[in-house]
Amino acid sequence: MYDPVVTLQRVSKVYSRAGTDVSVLRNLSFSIPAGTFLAIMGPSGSGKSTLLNLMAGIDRPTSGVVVVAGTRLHELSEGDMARWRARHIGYVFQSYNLIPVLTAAENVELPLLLTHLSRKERTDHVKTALRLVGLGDRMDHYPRQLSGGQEQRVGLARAIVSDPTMILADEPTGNLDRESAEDILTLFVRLNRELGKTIVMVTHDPRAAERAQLIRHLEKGVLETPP
Amino acid sequence: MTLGRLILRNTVRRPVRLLLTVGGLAMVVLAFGLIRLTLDQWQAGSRAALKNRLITVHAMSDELRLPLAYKDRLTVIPGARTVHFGAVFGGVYQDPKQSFGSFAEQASTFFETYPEVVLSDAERLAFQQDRRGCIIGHRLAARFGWKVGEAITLKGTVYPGDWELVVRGIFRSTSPNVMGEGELYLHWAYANERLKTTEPDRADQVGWFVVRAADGINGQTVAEAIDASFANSSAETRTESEQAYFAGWVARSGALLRGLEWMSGIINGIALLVLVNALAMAVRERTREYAVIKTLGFQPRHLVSLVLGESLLLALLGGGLGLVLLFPAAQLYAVMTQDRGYVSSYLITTETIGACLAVMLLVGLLAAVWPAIRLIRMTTLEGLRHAG
Repeated sequence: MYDPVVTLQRVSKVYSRAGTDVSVLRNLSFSIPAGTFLAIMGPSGSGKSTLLNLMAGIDRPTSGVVVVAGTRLHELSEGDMARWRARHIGYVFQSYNLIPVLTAAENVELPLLLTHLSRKERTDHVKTALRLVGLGDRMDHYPRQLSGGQEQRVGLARAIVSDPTMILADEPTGNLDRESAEDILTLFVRLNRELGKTIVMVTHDPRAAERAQLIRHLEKGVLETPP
Repeated sequence: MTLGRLILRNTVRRPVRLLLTVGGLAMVVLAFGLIRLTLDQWQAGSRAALKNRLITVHAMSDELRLPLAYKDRLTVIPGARTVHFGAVFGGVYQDPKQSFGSFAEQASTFFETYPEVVLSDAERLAFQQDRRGCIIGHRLAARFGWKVGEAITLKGTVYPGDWELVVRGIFRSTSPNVMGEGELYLHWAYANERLKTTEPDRADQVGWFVVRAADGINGQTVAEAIDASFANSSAETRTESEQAYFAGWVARSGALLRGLEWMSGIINGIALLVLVNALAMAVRERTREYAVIKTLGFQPRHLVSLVLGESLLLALLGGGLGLVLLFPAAQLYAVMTQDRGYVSSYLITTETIGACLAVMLLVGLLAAVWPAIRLIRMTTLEGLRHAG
């Protein structure tokens, strides 16, 4: 158990666009305790997704230190980072990003191919994850045969199937109708409350953010200090 | 679920592109295979020829003739067991387009010299006893529908005039690359007899002597003795084993063969481009998927194995289809070219199959290099932002 799960120390991120430096994150320092369901809000271009990507280890800060699950991410090579991510991070994308030629069950099984689980154990894990998100009867369906809400639930099942330390969700309800969005958010709440999962969700939807335990606002690369 | 299954699903996810790619590769393998077959067959005569069968021709050119009188001197060369001779007859049937290999041979020594000829004793005897008789390969018989006992009339090109012959036997050959089954053999004596009256200056000359060295005798020694005995004569000889003779003939066709080998290389280059293009398109379309897979924790080597697996699978599918098509294509090719005389059969050897598969494996490996490098260089973030 890592507590805090995430610690950022004086993290800045600067992108170079057309010869001009654009500062996306400025000197951020904060930590996320284990078991927290945190929503990070902010307008487009505020740096929400960049912050999430730094925590997931799919981007690197220009300066500062990112420590997640006890690991200083800047010290890892690309290969080690991938291995670390497989163990600690479950990532939920806004546009689901399922592999279209794989069934729901096969998509969910994908992260488990990196583990030492037997085929039967993998199948059991996949069934459990899909039942948890309410898709036990859609295991053999391909993404094109599922609704957007169902696709996102498969995406969530894929994120939790390997029991990662933390779930990161980038606008998980951004492409969904209200009802489907509520279903997904309810699942996040359940995962947090019943299974103690640490969840960081980036959103610009206040109704989605309200379901989190904690809301932080990011404005022009600076995290608003909570009252 | 395995990565192998993902490779398979990725390979077949765009059926039209799959069909075009595999079809393109199959055509390439087919062309490559046919060129290999041609090259193989060209060299097969040399490989199948007997070492102890010596061929004596005019030292200056194969086209020039040797005096028949040389026969008696050859017979007394130490180590010479049988002395046979013959000449190109150059017959055509009805139409100049209907040409085939035809040769005037000394009948009495023919079968001993060429044990490859498979013919019944009765047919052998009938041929030897009839000066107007001829024997034909079964493929030639099938081509014109000729039967044993049938009288046929050929127009001679090397031996001018109309020649009435009687088919006395239809043979098969144990070595079609040496003794072709699309050829005709008639009595040299019959051809020479007519020449004595029409063109006496050309009579009593032969195109070649074939000397079989006695068992246990070094053929090279006999060949040197033959050439030495005709040194400084008006028609010096060049004697070499049948194997060396065919090899030399192949070497003289070197420019053409090199051209064909170049063409093989170019064809393989086309295969490579076809596959690289298909893979590059596929990888570009799936950039985001590969980035997602990386986000899930897969390493660059996993992505490389996905691309490499797909490339090899496509190459082997194309290669396999090409090989399946090669068998009927080779038969068709043999039928279409059987009257050219050079190539008598198109047998697909394990070497040809191996060469086709090896080339496709190599193409599959090479084709994956560029897309794999792109994936290795691609950061996860770049991939996720890809709008393909």
